[in-house]
Amino acid sequence: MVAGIEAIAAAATVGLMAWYTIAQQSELITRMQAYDESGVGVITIVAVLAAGGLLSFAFEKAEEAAEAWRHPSGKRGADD
Amino acid sequence: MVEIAAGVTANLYLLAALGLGVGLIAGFAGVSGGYLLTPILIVLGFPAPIAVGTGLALMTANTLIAVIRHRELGHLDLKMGIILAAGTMIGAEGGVRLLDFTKGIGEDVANVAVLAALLLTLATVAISMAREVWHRSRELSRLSDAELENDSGALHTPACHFLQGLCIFPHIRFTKSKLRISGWIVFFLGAAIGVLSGFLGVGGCFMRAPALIYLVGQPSLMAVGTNLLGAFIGVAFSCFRHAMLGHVHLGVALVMLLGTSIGTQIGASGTSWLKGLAVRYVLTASVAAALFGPAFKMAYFVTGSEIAWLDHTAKIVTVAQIFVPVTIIVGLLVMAFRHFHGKGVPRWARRLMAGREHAAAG
Repeated sequence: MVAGIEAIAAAATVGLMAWYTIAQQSELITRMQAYDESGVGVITIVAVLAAGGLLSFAFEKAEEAAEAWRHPSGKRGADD
Repeated sequence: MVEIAAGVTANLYLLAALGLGVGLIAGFAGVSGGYLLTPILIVLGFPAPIAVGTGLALMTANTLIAVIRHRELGHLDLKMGIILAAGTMIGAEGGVRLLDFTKGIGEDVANVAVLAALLLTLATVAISMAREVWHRSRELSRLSDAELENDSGALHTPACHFLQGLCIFPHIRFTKSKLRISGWIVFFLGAAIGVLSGFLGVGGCFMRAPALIYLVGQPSLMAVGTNLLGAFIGVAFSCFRHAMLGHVHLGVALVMLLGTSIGTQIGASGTSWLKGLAVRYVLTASVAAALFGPAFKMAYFVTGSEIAWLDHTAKIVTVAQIFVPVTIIVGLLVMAFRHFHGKGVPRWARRLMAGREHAAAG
């Protein structure tokens, strides 16, 4: 149950990041112009890696949730 | 719809769907997918620098997901991946300088030289892989059902025997890949691929994966993860450089990433159901399909950029090439699903299925 919520939260965060960058595109471009080139590079790569890491975490938790749903531990213990 | 540049818009659902296809190929065959993605974005109307930068951002996140996934599946040799990546980055710098030198001679000369080198590389990789896959398929067709179930899928070419036998210090034991080879051979292999990758402007995964399988002698599934680690380090650095120049459309990259990541998970998980030969089938088909776009583009340049239909055909073929490997992967995964649920599958498909123990472990 907790793993499922964690998976949805992580995937939703990436979805929100995508929505925000598209909705606020012109504002973000203006704000980015205030930073130097290296700053823009660092912000972009951190955002990209964070999105990748979050999605990877989401898939791991989703698998965990699916596994727990298929083999509930309490039921297995009772059978043993 | 999202505005990419002045007057250029793109459909977000279409981008996510294309991302799903690229992710499926990337996760299954262990390639970053740049050689498919960047031309597609250009055909969709993205300005070339934005297409390259956005593609690199997407590939950075996606290769990270694929590397983590393959590490969980035990398909990653960290030591070999780092040595290979070091060689690739140094070689890529040489390749970029070679490209600059060619551009100094003339823009048209550079275009034709890059396309000719790309065609030659793709054709060499596709033909040599197709030959090996054909021979291996014939070998497997002679095995009985019990022998097929126990077949490890290990591949030992004369080239990998020779290279592993060269005792050049440091002769490193790669325990994950179950082989010993000189660190310099792995490094120079990475550097040679790096030169081509820097010159051609591609990630180089479609060259690195066959090189790891046929020259280093790494098991196919291990080569998939190791190759992706090498790719991740390279594309992350290139993404950073392009982001500095403002060439990354972060919103588009994130939307495509949602599709790509799902495809990558399905593709990477699918490799545990199938033998390495299936991965090589898909890689061969993918590289062979990628030959046609540059071939039409080359014909367009050689004829003086005057025959418009050659350019249009090049664009259509470039987008269509994604459907060849995607169709094969989906077909193979359906067969694998049927096989492991006790349903009948043709004998040719059974030859490509992993042993039941291996699939369960995956």
